Formats: sequence, structure tokens, C-alpha cells
Amino acid sequence: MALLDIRNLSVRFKTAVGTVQAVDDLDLTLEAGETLGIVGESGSGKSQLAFAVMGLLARNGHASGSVRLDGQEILNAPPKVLNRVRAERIAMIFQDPMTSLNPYMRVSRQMAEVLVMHKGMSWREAHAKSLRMLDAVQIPDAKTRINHYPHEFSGGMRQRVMIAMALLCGPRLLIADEPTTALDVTVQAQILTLLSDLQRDLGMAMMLITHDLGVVASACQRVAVMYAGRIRETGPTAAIFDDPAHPYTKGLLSAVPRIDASGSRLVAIPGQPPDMNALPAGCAFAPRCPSRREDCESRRPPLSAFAPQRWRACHAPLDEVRSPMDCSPHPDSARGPARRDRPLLDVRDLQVTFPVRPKGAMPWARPLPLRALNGVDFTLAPGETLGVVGESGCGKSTLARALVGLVPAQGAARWTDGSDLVGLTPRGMQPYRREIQMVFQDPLASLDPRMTVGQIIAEPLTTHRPDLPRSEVKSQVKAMMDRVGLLPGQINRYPHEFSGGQCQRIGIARALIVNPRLIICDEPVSALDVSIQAQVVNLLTDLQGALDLALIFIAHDLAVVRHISDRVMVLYLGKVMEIAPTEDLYARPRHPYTQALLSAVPTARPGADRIAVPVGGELPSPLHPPSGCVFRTRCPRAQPICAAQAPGLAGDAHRTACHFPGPPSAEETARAQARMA
Amino acid sequence: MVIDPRKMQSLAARMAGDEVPGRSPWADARRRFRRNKAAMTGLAVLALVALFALSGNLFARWSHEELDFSVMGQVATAGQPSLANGHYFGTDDLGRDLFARTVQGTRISLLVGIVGAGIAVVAGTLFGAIAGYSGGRTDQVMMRTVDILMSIPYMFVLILLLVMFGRSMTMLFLGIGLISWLDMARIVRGQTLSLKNREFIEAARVIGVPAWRIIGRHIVPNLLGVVAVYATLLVPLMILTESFISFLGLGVQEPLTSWGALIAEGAGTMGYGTLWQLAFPLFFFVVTMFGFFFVGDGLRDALDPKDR
Repeated sequence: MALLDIRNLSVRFKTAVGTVQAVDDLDLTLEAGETLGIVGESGSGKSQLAFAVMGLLARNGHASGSVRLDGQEILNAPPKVLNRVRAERIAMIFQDPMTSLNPYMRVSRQMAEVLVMHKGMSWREAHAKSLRMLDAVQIPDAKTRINHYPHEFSGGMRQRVMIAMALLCGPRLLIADEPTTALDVTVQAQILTLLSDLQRDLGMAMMLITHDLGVVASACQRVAVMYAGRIRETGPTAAIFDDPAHPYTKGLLSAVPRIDASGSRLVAIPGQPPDMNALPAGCAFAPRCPSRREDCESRRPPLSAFAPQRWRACHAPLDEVRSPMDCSPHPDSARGPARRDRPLLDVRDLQVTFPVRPKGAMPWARPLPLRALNGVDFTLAPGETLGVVGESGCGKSTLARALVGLVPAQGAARWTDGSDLVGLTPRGMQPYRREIQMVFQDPLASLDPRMTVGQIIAEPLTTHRPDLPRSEVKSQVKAMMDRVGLLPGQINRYPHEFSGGQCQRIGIARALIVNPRLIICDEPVSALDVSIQAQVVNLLTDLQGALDLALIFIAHDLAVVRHISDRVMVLYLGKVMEIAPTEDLYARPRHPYTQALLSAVPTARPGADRIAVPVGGELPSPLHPPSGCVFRTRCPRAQPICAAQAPGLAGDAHRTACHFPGPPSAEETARAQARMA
Repeated sequence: MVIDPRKMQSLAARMAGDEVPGRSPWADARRRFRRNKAAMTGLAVLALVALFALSGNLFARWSHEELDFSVMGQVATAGQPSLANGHYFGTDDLGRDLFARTVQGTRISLLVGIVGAGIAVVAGTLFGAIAGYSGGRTDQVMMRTVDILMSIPYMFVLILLLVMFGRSMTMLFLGIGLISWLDMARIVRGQTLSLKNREFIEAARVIGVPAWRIIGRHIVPNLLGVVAVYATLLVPLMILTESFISFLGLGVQEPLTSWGALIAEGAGTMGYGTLWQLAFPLFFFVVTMFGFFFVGDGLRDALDPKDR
């Protein structure tokens, strides 16, 4: 008998605008000790599925069907029963560990409370057991840390505490809802390793809910792909990734930029996710499906087995889905010779310092300098794309903001006409604002909610060309909307009436309307779903080719950066670690940090063998950066010289700031892996 | 460049396509407000009170300053509310028609409330938005000014002003206006600080929109929700302040009157069996207060659905 047996589960929400069908007649089983990945884009119902199983639906939600845990019905069970089931037999961890821990309670008390309540332990016993659990999730110095408050932990450590808390009562099933989405790649790798180790040691089953195909590929035995509240395909991980049998799975896989390959255009899934208020009578994916046929619009395809262990819900014949996808040939991804004599932008020793008052200091105490950028050098050729990667807190957003004058900086950033953008007065900066535009991370937040799309896109134009007549502005706005793939008829709509991907198109249109020569994209796709991300990345690439734009593309997703960039710069604690042509950097990284970053990225290909030098620890506080080389505290090659002397950027095209650059030695790889295991 | 005629045609067709009207955040808020029964009732009550103030005199058979000599001296018996002699609300202690006086008082009180709140909205919003957006030293100086003004006991100053310069409507408006914008400036500054770091404001700065236009086009429209809510709560506060001053006998001058003055008179004669002198002004006063509070509540829910 399966550990968890879900039959005909439906979840509906009553809202002001109608009934939302979040989960639609879903069947799923999970064996003891198994790891099941549930993949889906936002709004696919994957989180609501977990909430329904746990009995944690919001008040306007209603679940029907059956959920059996070890044969016992737990769906809509009375709270008393559910309270015993939760924590003792099923535990759950969430995306943001800060919001699921009580900020006013010491970790020790929060953890011990679970044991006292559920296992009837004494507080002393519970404390001891909590301590053992924190040790098990590898929290260094657990004895003192257990008495800290949640805010004293970093994001990764907090997630470890959450895991420890979830596992206290030895649950049979752990539901992890996007457990690593809020974390950096290097920390994500640590948490995923920890989860799979714990799962193996404790013999529990795990349901891992995520939007990241890479996470699934590296952590799960079986995968279920969800779209619009239904499972579209399920099977063993390797089979799903190598031989997707549903057009949606196939589309998703090809929309993910791959870190282990570069070049060709991403295959985006056209269109938008469906409106969950009014699902079509037939297959909800039909409007976006390349293998659509008549049946699809009238009849929902049932989930049926087509091979041992494999199920899919699709009317299209298997052979058609399996046939290689029709990739429209891209007008060559090699975007002409980017290098020209005169750089568009020449940045030398760029520094940004924020005054920060240390915690607990008196108001009149001198603020400490937080060096967000500590001497960054690079050049950018016209029409070139420079990718900037690094973990959160490395200064990549600060770099963008310094270049557009949102934060004061020191150093030099010479524009192609020889003038220095750093330290220009607002008036002096004005002519260059036309040349440099920016695309922001959060598509909706970067648009004024009280303005129509037309007003938003026209704003740069009315600012820099006040002489233009209104009719001309309007026709230019409409032309630009068409160019970025928006319907010009929607010019009077407001941002909240658009989806995330469309909002990002509006942001791009706003940046492009004054014909700039450089666009700085600060994490432009990280808030978007995979299929939409591919659309936006393709749009940026196309526009760049057509308009001879230079791009500075900032992202934490190394695969996207590889896909779009000519050159890539790796930042760590406000310093450049390595800067090199994309192919060179990804194939032959020389800096240990770059190597660590690259090996931490989960790929959407199970069993892919790559150099593996995972890195431990987390980013040191930028208020007190390490002496010498800033990476030395986490570096496997650290020697005394690294603490004494900061390495400069050395090399010609491939520049590295390291005393001991080069590929990792075999011994180093072995040691790193031994440490992680 | 070769122009593909087919493409050009389809482009032309798309350009000429109908423009879909958008659903503005204001329209959404209006819809939510209309669904709120308490707020709509409050709004209806306020409309009736305003109608009463504007057109009440059409029905009055007496003016607010005429003395009815037939009831003088026997107000408790002859001055009762009656349709026969035209004193619908009865008369006051001197034999003046209370209906006409209540109409008059409603006008003054509403005027004080709206003008006071209006000054607060305009001055407070601009001051707060400028201080918050500028930041740094400008902000420090501007906000410390507000702090200093706030630390002065305003009722004392107001009373001194009225005593020194004589009681007049102008003085009353000036006094109330002077104090009313301080809270508003603080609230608006706080909101501006949080708006300032939103990405769409940064986007406007990157585009190169001048500071005054960012304040005018991006900050103020996004503040209006908070401002509108606070303004509806400020109107009754202003009315209360005026009533208090008039209650002390320092407000509007005879023969003009206001709710506060009427209530004060009514309260003074409560013990002589002329309860209507208190009841009618008090009824209008209380009903209006409730009306404004419900409308303010409804506005807050309508404009900020996330906070519920």
C-alpha cells in the first residue's frame, strides 16, 4: 500500500471574481521512502495541493476527493486528528523560513515546544533532542546557536532550522514547498544535499514542490508535472527528462536555458498560462500546444499509462510529441564581432560605499562604511552583452544602480564620448539618461500602478523630447508596443491588468522608446516563470540584434546568463573575481569561486557529470570583509598569502583575481566532495 | 531594407485595432466602495446633511436672527417644536427659530470642516511629499519644523489668537488651518519614504524625470488613497475642534452660529425643560460624525484591499 494515496482531489476557492479551480481532479500516489518532485509554474496549483493534503487551505478554499495516509483518510479530517497527523506523520517546510518561525521566540523554545506537545517529553529532554537535531542539519556551534532568535540566522541557516524542526517527530513524509527558492545557488546546493542525506538516513518519503526543473532533476526519483491544477505527466525523473511524453513537459524542458550548453534560441511556450477562473472545457494547455487537435478543445485527456511507471494526459499520439521539436532557426546566435576600437563604457575602479550604523551603536556614533562595490573594472563594447553574476549581496544590483546614477559612486565610468558618468550633476547626467536605460527585476512594481500603459511607455519620450506632438508620441508608443509583442490596442490599460511577462515587456518598451545604446537589465527574468522567461530572453536577444544595443545583464541564474552574454563577469563581495568571454568562462573557469558557483547550479539533466567542487559556508558580512582576498574564508585553495594580499585581476581576455588560478586539482575535488558528504 | 508588404499590412491592421479601455485602480476602488453598505449609508447621510444645509432655508419661515416676540419669555411652553407657528425645531432661549439656526450652524460647521481639511490636504500633502522625496537635510529641517509646531499646545494658541485678534471667521479658519496640516504632513512623509524606494519611482529617476514631476505625477497620485482616507477622518476632527472652541464661547460670533455654539446653548438650558434645543443640533452633529467615519472606513477598505 502506498504511503500517501490521493484520489480525485479537487481544490476550489471562492473569490470575489468567481470560483478558482486550483486543483482539478488529481490522482497521485507516493510510496514510503520515495522522493517525488512536483513541478509546475506559478498558479499551477502545486502549493495548494500540498496545503490541501496538510489541511491548511485558506478559509475560502474547499477540498474534495480523498487523501489517505497509510490507509487513513485525512482530507477534511477534524482538527484534532489533523493536529496529530501534522508534525508527527507529515511535516512541511516552506519557501520563506523567516515567516514560518516566530520572531519573538528563541529557536530552542520553538523546537522544544513541538516535542512537548506531540511526544509529551519534558522540556529538558526536548531541548536535548532539539540540539541533536540541529547538529544533524549541520548547524555549526549548535549549542550556542540554539538559544538565538530566528533573525540572528542567515537565510540558509534558517532553512536548516526549519528542516530540523520539521523532522523532530520523525515524520514519514516531508512536504517541501519551494524550500530553496529564496536561497543562493551555493546555499541551495547545500540544502538539497542535506535534504537527500536526511531522507536516506531517516527513511522518510519526500514531496518536493518546485518550479525549478534543475532542482527536481538533481533531487528526485519520480516527477509529476502539473499545469492548471492537473498532473500532465508523471514518471521516473530520467525518463521524463530524456523522453518527455507531454507537449507541456517538452516545452518546459526546452524553455530552460542550459548551463552545460550555449547558443541556440530558447524555445518559448507561446501564450500565457490560463485564467484559473474560467478553465476551458477541454485540455487547459490546448491554446498553447503545438500538437493541438480537435479533441483537445472538447474533452479533457485522462491520465493514462503508456509505459511501465509512466503516465501522461494528452490526446496527441506519442510519436508526434516525441518527434524533435520544430526549432525555428535563429539568425545565428553569434552576434557579429562585438569588439570594436572604442568601448561604449569604460569602468575603472568603481566604488560604492553606504554608511551603515552598526547594530546597537549610539545614534551619534560614526557610521561604518559598507563597501557594496569595491573597485570594479570592466569595459563594454557597443552592441555587446556583459553578463554579471554572483550571489545575493555581491553588489550586482548596486553596480546597475551606480551606473545609472541612482546611488552615488566613486571611481570612473567613461562613456564613449569621453565624459565620466560618475559624479555628474543631475543636469549633466540628463543627456546620458537617454543613452542608458534600465529594466527592473519586479515587472509589476516597476510600473506606476496609477498610469496607463501608454503613459508609462511614453514617459521617457515626453521627458526627453517635450517638443513632440501628442499624436506622434502615441503612434511611437503603439509601434513600440507592437515591437515588444503587446497589442497596441491595449494602450489604455493599467499594469495590473497584465501578467508578469507582459509587464516586463512594458518595461522593455519603456526602456527602448528613446533609442538608448545601453540597457542595464537587473534580474529581468528572475520573477518570471520558465516558459515566460524564455519569451522575454528571446525578445531581448532579438531586439539587441536589430537595434545594436549593448546590454548589461545581471542575474543570479548562471544558465540564463550563459545563454545571452558575450562576456561574463563574476562578482563576490563587491569585487570582480573573474571576467571572461562566456564560452571560456563556463568551459574553463579559473577562479575557485566561479568553479563553486557553476558546480552548485542544478541542471535540468539528471546524472549530468560536471566538475563538482561544492563550496561550504555562506557570504561573510560585507561590513567586515575578510582581509586580502575576500573569498579566502570559503576557498579550498586558501594559503597564508591570500589573507595578506588581495590578488589583482590578471590576464588578457580571461581575467582572474586569484593567487592560484586554474582548474581544480583532483585532490581538491575529492576533498570538497568528502566535506559535503 | 526590403519591406514585406504583407507584414506592413498586418502591422497597419494591428495599429488601427480598437483601443480597449482600461480598468483603472480608481474604478476598482469605486466598485469596492459601492459594495460597502455601511459606507454607502454614511455617504447618503452626509449628502442629506449637505442638502439640509444648502436648501434648508427654503423651508424656513423665520430667519436665523429674527426674534419671535410671541414666544419670548415662555419658550418652554410656546417655543416647542411645532408645525403651526413655523418653528419646526422649536426656538432657542431668546425666541429665535431653531430650524433656521440649525441650518445656519450646519453650514458653518461643514464649511469649517471642509476648509480645514482642505488646507490640511493641500499643505500637508505637498509639504510631506517634498520633505520625504528630498530626504537628507531638507527633510530634517522641514520635519523638525513640524515637530516644533506640534509641540506647541495648539488649543492654547488658538484661544490666544481668537482673544487677541478678535473673534472672526477668518481668524477661525486661519487658526484651524495652521494646525491641521501637521499630522497630514507626517503621514504623507512616511508614505513617501516607502514609495520612494519602489521600483517605479527608481524607473522614473533613471529615465530622467525631474524631481518635481516625479512628485507630481508618481508620488502624489499614489498617495491619494491614504490622503483621502485621512481627510475624511480629518473633517469631523475639524468640526469637533470648532465645536469645542464655540462651546467655550470663542468661536463664531452672534448672530451666526455653529453646531458647537448651538449645543453649548442647548446644554445650558437643558434643565429648564427645553430639551429640543440640545437634541436637534446634537442629532445633526452625531449623524454627520458617524457619516464621515463610515465613509472614511469604507474608503480605506476600498483603496487598500490588501490590508483587510
